[in-house]
Amino acid sequence: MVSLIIPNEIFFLHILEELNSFHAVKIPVKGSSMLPFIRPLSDEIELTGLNEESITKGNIVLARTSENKFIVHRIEKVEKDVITLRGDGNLSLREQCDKKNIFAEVTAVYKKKRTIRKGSFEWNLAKECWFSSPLLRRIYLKIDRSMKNLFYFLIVVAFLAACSGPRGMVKIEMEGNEAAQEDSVEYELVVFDTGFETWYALQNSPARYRSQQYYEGWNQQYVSEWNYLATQPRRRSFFQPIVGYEPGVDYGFELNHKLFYYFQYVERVLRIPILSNHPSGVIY
Amino acid sequence: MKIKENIKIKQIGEESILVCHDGGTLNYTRIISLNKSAEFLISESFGRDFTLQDWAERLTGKYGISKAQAMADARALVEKLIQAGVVYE
Repeated sequence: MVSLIIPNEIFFLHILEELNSFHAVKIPVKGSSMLPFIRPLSDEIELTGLNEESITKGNIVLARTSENKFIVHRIEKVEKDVITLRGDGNLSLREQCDKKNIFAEVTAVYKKKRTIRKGSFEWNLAKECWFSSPLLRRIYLKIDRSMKNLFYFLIVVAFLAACSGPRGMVKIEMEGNEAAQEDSVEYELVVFDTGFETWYALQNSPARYRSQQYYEGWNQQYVSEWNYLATQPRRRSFFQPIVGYEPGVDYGFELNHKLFYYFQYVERVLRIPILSNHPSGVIY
Repeated sequence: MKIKENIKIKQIGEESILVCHDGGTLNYTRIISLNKSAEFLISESFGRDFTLQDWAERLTGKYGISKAQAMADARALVEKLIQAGVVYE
């Protein structure tokens, strides 16, 4: 399995059915229209059914727009029958729908290491203080993006500075130009070993694919052990720390697959042991 | 082995998937897509202990495949489910 792609329409209709039986449903986030409060890929949101106060200015809701598109945006204006919505990351774009096309409310945002619940200080800060002016939004979002790029740049520089040899070097970079970043963030795995690329090209066959979760599970174990070995005086000449691979971040199938196979390459081709246990049934 | 109590099989469109719930919250952020045979084995095993042998026998009975093939398939599925935290020993 590479990845499961379910059309938005089918997915959200299913989620609405679930909300009839469950108090809340947690779903992943795609798209960057709610930046900076909700970040795509890394954040997750909790949807709950509506109550009497849900359709109120400032709340974030799941709605179907007049163009028949499901969105999760903040309510900007409530009129008699028409609700105006706007994503925090959208400069001027607004959507409209009627009340009956608002189905659920976002009551929590799950970040990597913390949860922001509706009503908390951080939640209210984003709700009350986020700029309405398109110009101020543009300036803030530009700064936010620049800071993020600077952060990743510094990680790469720090990593390269720490490296002493061409082998055992793995780098995970965020990819994407300005236009692409509006909708998605992708990661790229760079391995500084030309032998690996040739070997990997021979192994990379869709018929042998396993799930992304499978590769993530093994990669977390491998990265943890690898980074430990990088600190050991007798072995660190080969192992350079892998910076950037964090549990809970969705790096996508391709990166996880390639990283997993890099570890197999090190263990089976270069014959440098990493883990004491090994994945079984992986075909080479 | 046993399937964790908080796991459910759901149908979205034509897809069968595994999701977990934590109290009143259903989690769709980590889902596992199932093929027909995996769905069959898992749905038959909720709430009861099972072994690799049990699953291999069920596969042989339902699909008429060889014992060796059934054992290999059952083992591969169990490995994936343990890795994903769906099954515990």
